Amino acid sequence: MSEHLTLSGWLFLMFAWCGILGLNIFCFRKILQEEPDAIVDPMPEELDRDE
Amino acid sequence: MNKNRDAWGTRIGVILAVAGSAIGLGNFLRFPVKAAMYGGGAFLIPYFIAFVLLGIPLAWVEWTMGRYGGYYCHGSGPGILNAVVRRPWAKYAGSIGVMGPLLIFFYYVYILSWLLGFSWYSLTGELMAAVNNGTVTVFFGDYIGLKTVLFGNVPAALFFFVITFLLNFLILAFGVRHGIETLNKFALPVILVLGLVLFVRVLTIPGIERGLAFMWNPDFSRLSEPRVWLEASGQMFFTLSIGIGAILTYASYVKRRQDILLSSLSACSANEFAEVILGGTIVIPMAIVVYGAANIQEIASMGTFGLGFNTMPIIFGKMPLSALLQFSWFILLFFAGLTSSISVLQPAISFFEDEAGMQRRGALFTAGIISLFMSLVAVFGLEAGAVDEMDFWGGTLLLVMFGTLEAIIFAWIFGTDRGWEELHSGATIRLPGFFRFVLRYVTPLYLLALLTAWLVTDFSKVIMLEGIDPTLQVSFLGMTMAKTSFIWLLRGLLLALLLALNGVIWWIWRRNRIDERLAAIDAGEVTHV
Repeated sequence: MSEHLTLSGWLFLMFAWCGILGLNIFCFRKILQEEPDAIVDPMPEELDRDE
Repeated sequence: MNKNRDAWGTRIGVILAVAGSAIGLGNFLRFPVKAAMYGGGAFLIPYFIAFVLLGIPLAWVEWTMGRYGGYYCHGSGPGILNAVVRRPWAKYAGSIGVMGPLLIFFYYVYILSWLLGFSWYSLTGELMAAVNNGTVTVFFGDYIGLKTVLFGNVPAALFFFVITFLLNFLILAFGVRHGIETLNKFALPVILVLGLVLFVRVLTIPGIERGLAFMWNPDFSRLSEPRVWLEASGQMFFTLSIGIGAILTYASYVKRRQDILLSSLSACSANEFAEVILGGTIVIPMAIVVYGAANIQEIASMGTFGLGFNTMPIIFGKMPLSALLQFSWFILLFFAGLTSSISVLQPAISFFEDEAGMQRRGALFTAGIISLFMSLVAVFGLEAGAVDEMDFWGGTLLLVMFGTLEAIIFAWIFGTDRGWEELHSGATIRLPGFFRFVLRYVTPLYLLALLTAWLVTDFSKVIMLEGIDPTLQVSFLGMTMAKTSFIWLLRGLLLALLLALNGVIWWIWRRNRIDERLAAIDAGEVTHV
């Protein structure tokens, strides 16, 4: 095996790193852009149901 | 069960908690070893396929079923599966979601305590002295063999075990929001910063390209080996904490209207960052630079403990600021492990609180007594093989079994259409329809194939203890016996624990009339239980 990063090695490294960084940026940007949604009460007095 | 059930304080809190549960020793030690052994960059092909078809879908399944169960105030496997399936067998099947993680906790907390101990010895300079004397392996052996002492004659491993054990329960005593969430909001940034410090340090080592080449240059010939695909899929279970029951429990504390789809994806992606980018860069590339590619198979064969506790201190010992780097390494792993260990303990706490109706103090005390007894078996039975045996059942078999069960229940019993709606309830993004097909067919069949392949190739060998010399004698608490006898005794103990848990489930369901309460909630007769 080559002692240096081959073209395919570089491609795998860049593909993996960029893919993961891209997914992280997509997810956390969406989350941080949203309004803070602190849950104030664990289970409010009224029913914690949608219906 | 009560209406004052705990809950996450913020959305980012639950994401960090689930990411913290997933990010553990496996990210920094197990993944790089597997990648190096099974094709380098080519390992990433089956790994990412498993991520898309198995890892993320199963995480969505757990988040969905967990939040659904939490709606009925159930936070552990038996209660959640019972609420989802509504058949008598489901609660007993769900016992795996309590027994499995608890079994992992029994030994994981002891391994975690080694990291605290080695962090301490990094600071005192004793680890560096062992590196300089070339006696790190002996140092590690003495430590786990309870020969290293502190304060006169207290075994250091026992001292740090007690501290770590109590620390886990102390955090959980503060509950989900003030305990687990607060810890993760502190620990995850610490892990990220320390990981990035080591990452940058590694990338600035002269000759690191050789290490990266070994790690990333693909060996496509390995893709024809079924073992490579099995290992990549198995790694997905370990790394994302799926099939354990921990995500199921954590998700039960998410509100019904709150997004789980993007939260789940975020936690998975954060875990991948820690695993592929940080974990894939630090250990193996450094070991290649220091020891050379010719010796890496031997180093990898030392396993994760050998790599983490023996090799890495030596590697850091050859660098400037060696003690600081050693400390950073061990405290990084300690925090990564701590956020995981509390997540495998919480399902049992939730079981005692939500299903048995105990107060938190009672739940902690009950789980504490059981855990202490079984963890001491792991501590004193380490050399007899107790940790390996517990790891096989808790960390390998039950995990895949429970994951398969969850996928089948979601797809074919709860129903993919219903599950799809439930997953998208409150979601801030919508998934492409492709994933509906994946959830219905691909993930359950993938898991069934994985489980079958493993049962065919390895199950009988492990069950019948092939490879263990029947004449090999081990010592446990002063008693000498054959290692095979010790393992069978331990298996009997674990089976008794599982049967006792199922007996308790049967009794709780009768006493608390849980099925009647579920029906009453559905009928709108009660608002909470």
